[in-house]
Amino acid sequence: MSNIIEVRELKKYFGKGDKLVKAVDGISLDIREGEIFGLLGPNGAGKTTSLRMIIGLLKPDAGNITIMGGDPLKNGNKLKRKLGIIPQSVTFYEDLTVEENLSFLAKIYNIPRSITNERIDSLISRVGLEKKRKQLVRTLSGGLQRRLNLILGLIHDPTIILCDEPTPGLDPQSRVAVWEVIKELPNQGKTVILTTHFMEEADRLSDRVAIIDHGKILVLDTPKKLKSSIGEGDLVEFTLTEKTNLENLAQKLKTFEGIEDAYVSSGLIVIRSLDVVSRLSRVLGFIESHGSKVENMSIRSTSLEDVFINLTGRALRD
Amino acid sequence: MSLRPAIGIAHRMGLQLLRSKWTIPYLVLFPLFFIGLYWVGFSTSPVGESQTFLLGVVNQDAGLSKDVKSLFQNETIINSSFTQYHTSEALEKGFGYEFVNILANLTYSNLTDAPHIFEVIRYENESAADSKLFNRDLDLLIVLEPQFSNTSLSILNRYWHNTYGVFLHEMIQASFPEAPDLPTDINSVIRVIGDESYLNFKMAKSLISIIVREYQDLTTAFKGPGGSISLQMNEEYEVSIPKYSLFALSIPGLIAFGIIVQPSLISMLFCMEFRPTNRTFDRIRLTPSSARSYILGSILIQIPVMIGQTLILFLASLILGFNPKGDLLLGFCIALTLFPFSLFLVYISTAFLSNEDVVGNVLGFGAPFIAFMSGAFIEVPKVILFSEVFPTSSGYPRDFLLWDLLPITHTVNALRQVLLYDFEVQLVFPDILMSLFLSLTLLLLSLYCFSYLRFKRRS
Ligand SMILES: Nc1ncnc2c1ncn2[C@@H]1O[C@H](COP(=O)(O)OP(=O)(O)OP(=O)(O)O)[C@@H](O)[C@H]1O
Ligand SMILES: [Mg+2]
Repeated sequence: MSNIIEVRELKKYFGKGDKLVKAVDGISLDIREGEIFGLLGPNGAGKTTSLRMIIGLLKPDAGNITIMGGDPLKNGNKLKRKLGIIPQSVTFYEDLTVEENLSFLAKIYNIPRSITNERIDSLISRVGLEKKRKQLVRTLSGGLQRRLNLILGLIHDPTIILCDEPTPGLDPQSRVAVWEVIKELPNQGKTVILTTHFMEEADRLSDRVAIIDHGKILVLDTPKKLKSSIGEGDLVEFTLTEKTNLENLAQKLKTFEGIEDAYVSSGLIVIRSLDVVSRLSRVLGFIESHGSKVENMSIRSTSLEDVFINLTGRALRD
Repeated sequence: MSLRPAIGIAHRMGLQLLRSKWTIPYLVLFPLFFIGLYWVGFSTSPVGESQTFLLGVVNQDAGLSKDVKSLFQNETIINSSFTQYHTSEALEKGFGYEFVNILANLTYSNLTDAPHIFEVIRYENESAADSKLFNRDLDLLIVLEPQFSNTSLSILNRYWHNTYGVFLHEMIQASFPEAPDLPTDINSVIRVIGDESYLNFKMAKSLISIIVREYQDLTTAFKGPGGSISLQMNEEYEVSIPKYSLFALSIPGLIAFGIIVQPSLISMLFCMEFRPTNRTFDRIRLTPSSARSYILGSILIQIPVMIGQTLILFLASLILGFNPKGDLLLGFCIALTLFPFSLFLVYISTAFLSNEDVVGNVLGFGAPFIAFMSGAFIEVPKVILFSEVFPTSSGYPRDFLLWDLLPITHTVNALRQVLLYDFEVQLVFPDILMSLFLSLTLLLLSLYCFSYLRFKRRS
């Protein structure tokens, strides 16, 4: 697989002096053709800023971007036809109908009339907007607007799609509908860069994930490898009646035999262990001996969230 | 370059305009409100009937030649009424002298305190008066030729020429064996000089022509008391000198103002594309050849908007009783020359401002202000930038004023002259050219700013 996008030491700072924000601070990426590449990071990590620079809406302070072997500055117009963006904030004409929005974009991309209608039909049916096609976008629900936002970026059949947080605020049904569309894209020979702060999304969709924070890449690998990098085993999260002194408790649990890790996250005590179930009775007994009780408990496998916590000590959605 | 993207832009903006709740208020209600306001306030207040014009006179009249004088003193051929009606001064000092006095004494009505039609300023020669004309210290200059007196007696009366008039003319002609045919029309011994593109000149000239015709009818020996002509501004003269209400006088300015209100609407439409939460403009920037298509498309949609709105303004004025003397179609075309200027307002404002409310306010206050400076509502004081440089069709250059930097000033001038005073197209041509030149220059500048600031990658 060759690299379709290469980003080297990309930087973008905003503001000056005290207010300097290092939005993107030396990011390097190789995006392979036909993959879904996830950029996972908390709010303000610099995901959107990176995408805007890659697509050419924003000028980098430093660094190089190569797209399909060319300099986007020199082959601007050629590349513009190959790039599609699905922006984080929904971007469409509210006072136009679904269909009018799509056919407007088709016109400004100068897509031949003969193809336009067919493509609009297929995109609309892909996200299930058939019944709404003649409706003003303003009157659509937020979820349906998101779906439209998604297909607007696909109208000119781009080869590379930059997808910036496609599912915030969506109900599960809409979210799955959007995911289905994105997942299908590599099968049509397309490359996708997906940003999200939603670990499940990154995990499910991405072939590879880069976790970024404060404008820097912390790790980059397949979701599977990232998860196993923090160690084997499943996780148990405890909610305790006694909320104080959790750190102390976690430190002590860490020394237990067979417990790989124990820490506090968002007011929960989390332990990781290979054979979790067999360890539970001892752990519960220990907690009770400390004058606390377990209010709630859940067992799950490791997620990218844990990878992030492991790297930064913070949760993704703080 | 394919036109499809540009047409797409135009089509989309058209749909948005059709659906916007602001379209009707901006394009129709707001201009109509202003025209209506003027109509309510000023449609019954007539103005302009008592303007006193500054009239320069160079009297080169040589007086009656001896032969002619003796001819009349013999009283063999003339009607006895002659001496009775003409002052003896006319016989002594010449008919030119008398004519100038008549002009100086003419009033708008026979009321004692009625205003004079002319303030007469006498000059020794033409060149002395010329510079005054340049500066518009004079509205009009007349030169009475040396043969004025002789011609005054030899002219043919419109009503009597086939009898006594012809006879008189022949008698006078016979008494000057050396002279060529004396003119039979007094107009040929009065030269009228001035700036054809100057409104006051136009009005003064039409007054003079009425007076000369009257004089010609009264001065012949057979009819009328030449020395005591009392002209009144009666029905007959209204035909030539249009009297307008303040409402009608304001219409050209109001039309121009109405036209430059429309950019606010278009600019607000543009600004909706820059909303941080829904920056549709990014989608456009990401298309190939975006700047050219966007500009072309957005100009395309403004053409019907502009024409439609101008039509509404004209129709509204006509319906409210505006009765233009001049060519409506020509006026309409002149109004349309404001198009590049209104495009300029759109692109310059949206190049620098991203917020639709701010743009709405800036243009909402800016448009009336610009219109005000152009003299659309009231006459603005003269602020001379360059003296005697602005060309006019008459060859008399006039001062270039500060307000002349605004294209709309020239459009308002031209519109006023054509609609109200029936100027021909060649007379307003310099103004139209100037307006187009200035507005196209501004437009190019604004297009440059717009495509640079809006389509370049931002840092
Ligand atoms: N135009 C700008 N001017 C000033 N600061 C900016 C600008 N754009 C982004 N930033 C700052 O840069 C940082 C990175 O922002 P960015 O939008 O790239 O984050 P993000 O990872 O996309 O976050 P989110 O998940 O909230 O979308 C933030 O601190 C943001 O406040
Ligand atoms: Mg973002």
